[in-house]
Order: sequence, then C-alpha cells, then structure tokens
Amino acid sequence: MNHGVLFDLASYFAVLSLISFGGVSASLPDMHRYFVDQQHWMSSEEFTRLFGIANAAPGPNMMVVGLLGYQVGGVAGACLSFVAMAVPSSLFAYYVGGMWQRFRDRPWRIAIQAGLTPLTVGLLLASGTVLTLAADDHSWVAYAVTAGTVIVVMLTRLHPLWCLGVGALLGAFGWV
Amino acid sequence: MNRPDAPPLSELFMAFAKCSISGFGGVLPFARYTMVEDKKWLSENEFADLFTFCQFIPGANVVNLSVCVGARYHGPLGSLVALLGMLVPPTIVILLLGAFYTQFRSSPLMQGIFRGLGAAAAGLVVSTALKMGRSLVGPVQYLLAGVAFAAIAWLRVPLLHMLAVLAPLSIAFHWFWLKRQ
Repeated sequence: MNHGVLFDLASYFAVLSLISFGGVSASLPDMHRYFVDQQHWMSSEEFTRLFGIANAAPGPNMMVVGLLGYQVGGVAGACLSFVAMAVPSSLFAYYVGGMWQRFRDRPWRIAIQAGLTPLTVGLLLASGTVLTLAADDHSWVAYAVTAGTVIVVMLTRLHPLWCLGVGALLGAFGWV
Repeated sequence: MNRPDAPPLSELFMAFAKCSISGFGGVLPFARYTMVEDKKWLSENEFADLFTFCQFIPGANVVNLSVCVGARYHGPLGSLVALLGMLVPPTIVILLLGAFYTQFRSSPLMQGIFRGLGAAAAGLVVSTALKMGRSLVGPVQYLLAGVAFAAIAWLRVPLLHMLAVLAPLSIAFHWFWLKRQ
C-alpha cells in the first residue's frame, strides 16, 4: 500500500465532508467521478455494487465511504476515509449548531437555508440518476427493480429493506 | 456546563451505538425513537428542529445529530463520545463486509446479489430526491434544482465547482425574494 493513495483518500474525503450538502447520498456522484473517472480506482459497476452492499448493512449511509476506502486502501484506507469524512463536518456541526439556533429568525439565515434546498434536491436527483445508470446498465430487470423500489417507497409505508431484499433475491437467481 | 439531567457518557455512547447498529436501511427512525420516545432527551419539536439543521449542513445527517445531542449534555466530550457510538460499531461491520466482498466478488451468485442490491439502492436515492422535491415552490426553485441536476448528472461537473457557482447565486436570489415579501 503506498502512502500516496492514503493521502489522496484522506484529502478527498476531508474536502467532501465540508461540501456534502444534502448528506452522503447527494455527494455520491462526486465520489463516482473521483473514484471511477479521475483516479480509475474501480469500474462503475464495482462502485454501484459497493454502494448496494453499504445500503444493505446497518449504520448511517456514510458506510459507503468506508467500503470505498477499504477497496482502495485496505483497513487503513477504510478507517482513514471514515475519519476524514466524519471529523470536518462534525466540527462544523459542533461550532455552528449553537449559533444557528441563536440566529434562527435572522433573514440571512433563512436565505441560506432556502437557497441551498433546491440545490440539494437537484443533487439528490442527480445522485439517483447516476447510480441508476451505473447499476442497471441496460438490464431491464435491474431498471424494473429500481423503478419498483421508487414506487414502493413513494406509495407505501413498507420498510425499504424489503426492496433491497427483493433486489438481492432476484440477483441471486441471476436475473438482474 | 453539564445540565442536571445529563445522562452519563456511557449511556450516551450506548444509545448511539444501538441506533447505528439497528439502522438497517437508515438510522433516522431509530434515532428519533431513541432520542424522543425512549430516552426523552428531546421533544418531538426539538428533534424536528435539530434534524432539519443536521440535514441541511454538510456531512451525514445522523452523524451531525449525534454531535449536536452529545454537545447539549457534555460539550465537546459529549460530542466525541456520541460520534464514536454512532461510528465504531458500523465501522467494524464495514470492515467485515469489505473482507467478505473481496473474498466473494468473483462468485457469480454473490455478483448477482450485489447487482440486485445496487439496483434497489439506486431506487432508494431517487425516491428520497422525489420526496424532498415536494418541498420546492415556484419556478425559480425548480430551475435551480434542474441546473444543479444537469451540472452533476449530465455534465459531471465536480461538486465543489457546482456549489461555488450556484450556491451564492441561489442564496442571493432567495435573499432578495424573501425581502420583497
């Protein structure tokens, strides 16, 4: 394992930590861009597979960061990626948290929040699109699993884990 | 600075560890149950307020939540302990999963399962986006969401560049828009 890779992982996630508005899911396209297109660390299919595994595991959806780090840099890569992704945003939450409550009725605070909301929605939708295109890759069963998940989550109160289970089962039969 | 009702650090750690390890398909429902109903650390409204903030700032929302709740009771130490509770147990799971994946990635059965999981997980992200999209109002908000979408999904612009251009524009627009009302 060369240290350059660990340094790249840590510095990438440390920056992402502070710009990941909308959470980890919304910044997946940027991780895809960096891991697949820029660094060529893995294929697009591998990226989405790891994302699928992270979703099936318990824990915050930040888990995908650890899996990506593990794939590139082993245990050290996983831990370092985690720390780099968690610490800067946590420091931000700690210091800004108190202040934000104090200024909750100030117009600038409201403008910042209102201004970032539509960007977050666009980001999340982009994330869903990038992941769908990468995961489904011309398989119509895969597109059906993705579409079915959207419909079930939007229209029913079924736990999302059921959708992951059905996807995994169809995959196990080799149909996806 | 510690409040009289502050739970001991060990309880803080255990509560968040339990949330994160039960959080299959998202930690949020478990976090709400633990904070509001089980431990009664936050009222329903306090939780909603705090979560809106944690959702909106950068970083994973439930991770931010643990930092904020920890800080309420024990300052920086509380934040650190709650954060560790949220992150240590799933880290162990992820290391095991990573090893498992490396071992079985070439088995056709596991490849199929991983593909199926990936397809369903992509659907989860799409539905989160659609649910959040319901809160948009007015043509400009839709336009801003559309431009952000196109920049990332279609043009594959780095996130940092997109935000550097669009965030100031969008905040400035909302500033003037809110002032006019």
